[in-house]
Amino acid sequence: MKHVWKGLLLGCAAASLAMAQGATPGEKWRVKTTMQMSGMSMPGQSMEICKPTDADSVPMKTDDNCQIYDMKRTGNTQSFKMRCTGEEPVEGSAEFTYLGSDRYQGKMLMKMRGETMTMAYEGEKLGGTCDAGALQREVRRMQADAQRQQADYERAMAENCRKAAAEGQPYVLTQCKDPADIKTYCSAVLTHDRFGGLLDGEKKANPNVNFPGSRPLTESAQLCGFTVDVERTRLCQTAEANGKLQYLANHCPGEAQALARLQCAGRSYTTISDRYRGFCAEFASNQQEELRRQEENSPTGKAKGLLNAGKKAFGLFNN
Amino acid sequence: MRRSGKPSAFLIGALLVMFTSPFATALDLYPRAARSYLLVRDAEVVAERAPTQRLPPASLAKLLTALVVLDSNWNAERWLTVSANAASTPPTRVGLRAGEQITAGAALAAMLIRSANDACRVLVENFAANASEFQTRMNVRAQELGMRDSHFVDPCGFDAPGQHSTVTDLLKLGRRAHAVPLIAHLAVTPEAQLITRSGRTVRFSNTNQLLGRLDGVQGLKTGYTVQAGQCLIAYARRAGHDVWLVMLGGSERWWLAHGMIDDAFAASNTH
Repeated sequence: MKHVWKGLLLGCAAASLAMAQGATPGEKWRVKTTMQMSGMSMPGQSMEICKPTDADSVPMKTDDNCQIYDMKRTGNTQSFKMRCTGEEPVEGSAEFTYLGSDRYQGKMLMKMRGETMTMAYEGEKLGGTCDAGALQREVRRMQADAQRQQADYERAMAENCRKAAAEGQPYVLTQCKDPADIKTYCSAVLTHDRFGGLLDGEKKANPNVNFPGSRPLTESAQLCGFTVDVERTRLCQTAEANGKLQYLANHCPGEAQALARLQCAGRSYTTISDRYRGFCAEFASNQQEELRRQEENSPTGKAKGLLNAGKKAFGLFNN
Repeated sequence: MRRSGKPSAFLIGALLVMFTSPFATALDLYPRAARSYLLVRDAEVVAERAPTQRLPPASLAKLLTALVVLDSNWNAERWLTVSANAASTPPTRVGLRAGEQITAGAALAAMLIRSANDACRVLVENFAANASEFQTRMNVRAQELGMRDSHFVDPCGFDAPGQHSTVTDLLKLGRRAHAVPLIAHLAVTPEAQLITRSGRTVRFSNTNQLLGRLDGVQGLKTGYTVQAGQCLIAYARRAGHDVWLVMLGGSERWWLAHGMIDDAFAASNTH
């Protein structure tokens, strides 16, 4: 339906331009249009246009993608062809017959994507004068606006990509192509905070869902050429020195266990140093989650072992 | 056909309940954290354990006591006399002495900040004709709050036969209490002092050890008795997200509350 209406509007625009372009002043006409396509008929539309005096002298370009050519006038019959290129190419041919000086009718056949659309026109002169160049100026203004908006959009996209890349946001994976942005992103993502965030996201990813952007860590590894486990381990080795204890607690089981023994065991919540309070709390809640995972995977006979594991976990802490 | 219609309708109804209930899918992510807990981020239950199990609420009941008192011709400047009964109430106390007078506002602050049972008794004795009347008003108020699985016997939260609540009900209580500006203010006050009518100064600190240690924490109330274990209603707000944790019968309360609340906020960051 989208293509049908686009074609309809294109047809109207073509017919309007064919009649409207040229010298000013012009004369007012009402044009009724009906359309048939794929066995269905669209309700008629009526529009007023301003027809210039010598509208049939030269082929006329309607916009960047469409051109009217091979325009002929034989007696009361005027014909022309139209060709549009781009994403939706259109080929069309039209024939109009003037029934006196104040009325005409005609048809335009257009082919779009293998479908043929027939548009029927009936024109009636209303009298009075008008500015025949107004429509063309309006079309040009709209084209200029569209170009400006497109340029603004592209600038905003580029800015978004630069910002997202610097912050290591997975937005880059699906929206950005500039190699400089990719390079920046690949560097930014290999930090404790961003890499940890991607690891968290990967853990929570739905295994049944797979589309671009659904697994940012895996996709980042492919884009940037790193191995997830190698980078995770490398960041574990530098986490404590950089104060990235949240990363350590969540993504470095061996290092976290060792640090918990050293810094959390036997410490009370209120007297522990601020540096390790968050880490120890995170470690404690992770121990709880690990217990849950074991419980889920454990047959009933392992209940005692779980209880012991629970006691062991709590043994690290004083309330 | 008629026979198959009813089971289908029932099944659809059951499925609708399943998919619309906010409590339907939450996991028990922290199985040893407490006998019962509820961890909620904004309107979403992040994790839960036995959310409708009836358990003793310990001093979390004092939030309801505070609401009842504030609804009873509240006058913070009113002088209240400390009875011998109140002065001899078991800990936790701020050390009020029989015959002393303190203002109602000071008593409320001591009850909510320090969870002081002596201050709690002073309020109960002065805002109801007797304990039975206060108890009735508490239960009426609880019903008004939609706390359908709760019954209160002791206004200060001491273990008592027939006294019970659930984490689901206590979340309702916590939210309502925090909506009262005076309670919300006291809940984040780390320490305070009261001055008796005779001029004695009594200093006390907040029992909520998360204050000043957990980013964004804004209260709300702690509790502990032998039967109830460690209890907590904690509320924290970060970057436009709210997290509530209600815990009954907890262990390692502070460590786990800190970790669980951080986890809930971290989950919101990935959404």
